[in-house]
Amino acid sequence: MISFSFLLVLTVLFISTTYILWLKLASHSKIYLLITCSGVFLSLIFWLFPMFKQM
Amino acid sequence: MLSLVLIWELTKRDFLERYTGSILGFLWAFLWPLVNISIYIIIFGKIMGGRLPGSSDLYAYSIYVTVGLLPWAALSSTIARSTSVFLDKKHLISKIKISLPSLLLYISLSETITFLISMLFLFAFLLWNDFTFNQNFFLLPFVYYLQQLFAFGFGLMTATLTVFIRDIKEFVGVILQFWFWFTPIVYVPEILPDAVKKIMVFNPAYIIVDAYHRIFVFGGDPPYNLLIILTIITHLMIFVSYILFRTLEKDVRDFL
Repeated sequence: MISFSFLLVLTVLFISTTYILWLKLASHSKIYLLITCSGVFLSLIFWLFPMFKQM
Repeated sequence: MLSLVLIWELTKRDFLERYTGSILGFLWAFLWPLVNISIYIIIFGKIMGGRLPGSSDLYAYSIYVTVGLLPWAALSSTIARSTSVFLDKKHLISKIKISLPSLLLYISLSETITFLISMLFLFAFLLWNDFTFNQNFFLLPFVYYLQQLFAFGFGLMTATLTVFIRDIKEFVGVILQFWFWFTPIVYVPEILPDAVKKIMVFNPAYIIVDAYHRIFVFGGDPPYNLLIILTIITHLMIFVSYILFRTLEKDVRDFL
């Protein structure tokens, strides 16, 4: 079973990354890369979470 | 250029303007969610005696309705308010050089604060009701992030188009009304005809609300595959919305 502290760290990491990510939004530069990163990151979370739970 | 200070100031002003002149002031930001949740729980659970099929829990239906309504309120309000944000804030846009997407971010932030306050009361009720929390609750920020991202992408597109076609604002309002009743928020999806159930997976709000329902009410896993598909669709929509916005940005500023 995955530990709650690990999930907490994951959640905090996610929130802080998201915060930085979207602060960059209006700078126009690298915006498409940032949107892609957000999509990949979120997809990975939904894909890996059930596997983590079984660990 | 995007300014965090500006987004925060707009968010603060949004709350202040809403309750300006009232005696209780900012306290209303807490009172309204408390009143709403109390209504959902007392009216649906105690007075109407609503029950979830297969569950004898007195509050199961109330929680079902509440965890559906709260994210829906955040999603629909963000979309509705984003749609007219360029028109509503045209006095600001014409005066200072401001990043237009940041106006949508302040709406999202404002709705997030309301959502968090509501969730605070819901969690307090769940704790009082000896609710058992599981690991899937850690997915809530991710599901919420996805829904607000969806609202952002949708809102950016409609906000851009509304500047040229004002009817879109009204049209979005009508869509949201239909969308609410087409999403199993106050009813369970099992009562729907088979044909409707099959197309329900194409409803983004259903995927989001279903994730909340499974985490809170059924104690199970959210629909991971559907969430991944929605993530991809949402980000593609943001790409398209952003390209549309960048193409029309100059005209948007001239038109306002």
